Parts: sequence; C-alpha cells; structure tokens
Amino acid sequence: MHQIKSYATGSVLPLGDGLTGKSVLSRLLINKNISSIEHGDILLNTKKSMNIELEFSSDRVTIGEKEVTTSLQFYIFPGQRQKDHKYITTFDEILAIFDCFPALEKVSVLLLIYDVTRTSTLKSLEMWLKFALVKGWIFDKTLLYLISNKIDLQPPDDDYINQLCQGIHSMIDNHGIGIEKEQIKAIHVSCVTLEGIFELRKEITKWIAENGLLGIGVR
Amino acid sequence: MATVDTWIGISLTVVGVLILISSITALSVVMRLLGRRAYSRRRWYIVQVMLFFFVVGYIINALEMMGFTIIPLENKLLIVSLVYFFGGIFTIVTILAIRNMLKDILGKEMTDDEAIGIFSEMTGADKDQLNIRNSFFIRCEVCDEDIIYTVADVVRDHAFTLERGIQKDEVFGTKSYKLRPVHKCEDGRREITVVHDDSLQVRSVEENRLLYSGSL
Repeated sequence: MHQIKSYATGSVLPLGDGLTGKSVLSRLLINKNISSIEHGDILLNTKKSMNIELEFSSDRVTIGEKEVTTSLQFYIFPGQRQKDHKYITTFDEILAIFDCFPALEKVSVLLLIYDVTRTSTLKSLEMWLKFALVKGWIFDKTLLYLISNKIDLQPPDDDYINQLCQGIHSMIDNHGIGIEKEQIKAIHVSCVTLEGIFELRKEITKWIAENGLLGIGVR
Repeated sequence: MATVDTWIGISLTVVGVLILISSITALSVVMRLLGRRAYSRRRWYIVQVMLFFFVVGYIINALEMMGFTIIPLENKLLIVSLVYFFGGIFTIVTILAIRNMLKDILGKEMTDDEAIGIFSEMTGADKDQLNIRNSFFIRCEVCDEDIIYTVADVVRDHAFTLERGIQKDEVFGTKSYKLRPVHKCEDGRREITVVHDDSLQVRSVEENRLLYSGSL
C-alpha cells in the first residue's frame, strides 16, 4: 500500500547588519528541541560570519487534514558591507558568487533583524529591505518578520514597531508587490533567554507548509 | 668660564624645554580626544605651534648661555620684545581656546522660545508641536538620579554643535528624534542618548557616556 506524502520547501533569508544575531538566531531556529548544552554552545561558539552559511531544518506540521513535511532552508549572508580587512568577505562579495541560487529568486520568509541596543541597525534595515526589493527576493507569498533581537538587554517599543511594520508594508506596496498587511509581522526575541524563538520557528514552519514550494510524493 | 648664575640659567632653560615638550605631548593627547568628540581644535593647533617655537627659542637661549653665538648682539633686545609679544599672543589664544571648549561643554544661554525655534529649524518640527515644551524624565543608570530636561535644555547644552546633541532619524517613514541631555553626574558631566518618537514622547534610553570627568 503506497502512502501519499506532502512536502513543502521554502527559503528563509535573515538580513541585517553585522553582529545583530542572524547566525545565532538561525541556529536556534533550526533546533526544535534544543538542550541547554547546545544552547550554550551556540551562544558561545558562533563566530562572525565570513561566508554564506547554509542551515537546514525539517519538521512535520498538520495543515487541515494533511501532514506536511516542511523543510526550512536558511541562507545566512555576512552582514558587513564595508571591507575592513582584506581577509573579511563582505555581503556584496558573497552575493556576487551565490546570487544564482534558485532559492533566492523567491524567498519564502524574510527576517529583517536588528539589535534593539543599536538603533543604527534598525535604520539599516531600510537599506536591507530596499536591497531585497531590488534583487526581487520578495514576492506576494513572502512572509516578512521584523525581528527585534537582544530584548533581554532592552525592551522595544511596541507602538513604534507597529508603525515600522506599516512603513514596511507601504514600501513594498510602492514597489508594486501585492503583499497583505498580515504578511508583515513583528516579533521580539532574545537568543539568550530564548524568548520568542519557538514561536518564530512555529510561524515560519507553518507559513512554509502553507505557502512554500509544495509537492507530493509516494512513500 | 661660565659662572654659577650661567649654569643655573642653563639648567632652568633645559627644565623649561622639557616641560614644554611634555606639554606638547599632553596637548596632542587632548587634541586627539577633542577630534574624536567633534570639538573645535583650531586654536589648540595654534597653541601647539607656538609651544614648538618656544622650545626652539629656549634651546637657542641655552646655547647662547653656553657661549655659542647664534643671534647677533644688536638683535638680542629685539628677541626679548618678540618673546614678550608672542608670550602675550600665546596667553590670549590659550584663553580663547579654553573659553570655546567651555562653551562647547557648558552650552549657551538662550530663552526657551529661541531654543525651540532653533530645534524647529533644525528638524523641521512644528514650533507648536505637542510636547515640544514638556519636561521629560529619565533616570541616569550611573548616579541613579532622575534627570529632568526639555527640548530647549538640549538645544542650550549643544548650542555650538547642535548636530551632536539633536538628531532626526526616519526609518520606514516613521520619524524619531535622538536628544542628548547633559547632566552633572557623580563622576563628571554625562550625556544620555534618549530616543523620542515623532510626537516627542520618550521612546527609549540609549547610551550614557562621560563627556568630561571631574568637577567643572
């Protein structure tokens, strides 16, 4: 007896300045049941990205009556755009090599990450979003998350974040991409206390299960 | 044969040269700090150049006392007059440099209306905007005391370098103002970066940095 199985795959692209926590957050997101030892290891041993990092995670979620095997593919680029040292690779250099990845043509989930303790990283998100728009990474099935990271150090202002989400929607709308307001969400996370991490993972997985690249197969 | 007086004179001159050289070095450190914090350094450059010429003058004087003839006898009185003149210039330039630095640190006296006018001109905010005359309360994490300030206070504190005290930001179409009120803290004068929203309400408190340590 053959069993029909549903699959869904989607690319997740975290964007933001250097040292905002893209690599740590992504590593935490791919671990569904993280132990305290693994958590400590990720926090202590994650180094600044000097190259593209690819992470992969798989999960089964139930959508309606179907069980969908969902794969999240993380493409983590280095956040630095200035070449401070000859051995440091910048975002643009890495992008020039890996821009041909088919998964980057239509990104399922775009994570705009900023560090709540450095407002300059929030301001940079405007540039990162423009970049994503120009590169055509965002389409009508892209879920955007504005992620306030490091909230264990400073709480963000919810009213402000809501205003920013509206601003993000207007910016995408002005670019001619028909995206719903509900597709732009905000979440506060802390990679230290793990606040918001599992909720974010759940939302991303659910979105990709429903809106990712869908397929069926026979087991 | 050199007399005791001559040797005392030479020794004092050499000590004087050493003091001036250490002053030049100390001033270089101060100027680097001033540059990093965007304070004006133009007059301090003049002071440093004059210190350098004083060192040259002192060395010539010491050599003359040792018996070398560098300046013709008929010009020696003129040299004394030049030392008096440049000594005066040195003093006034130093005082003006200190006065400007104090102005940078202490700000400028002006009325609330004038200050709000400047803020409005700088940021494009309406002079009659809600909250523009309000007092804001924040707590200094160093001295744990409440700091009360107004927009006008911040303008007065940073009157000579406004862009350091007041910044307007716009992210995704949402305006914010970064104001940096200055207060006298337990370890000197501190500047706290406070982010205000587009209606000038306090949104968050950021960096707290020491501007000037010690009492002023």
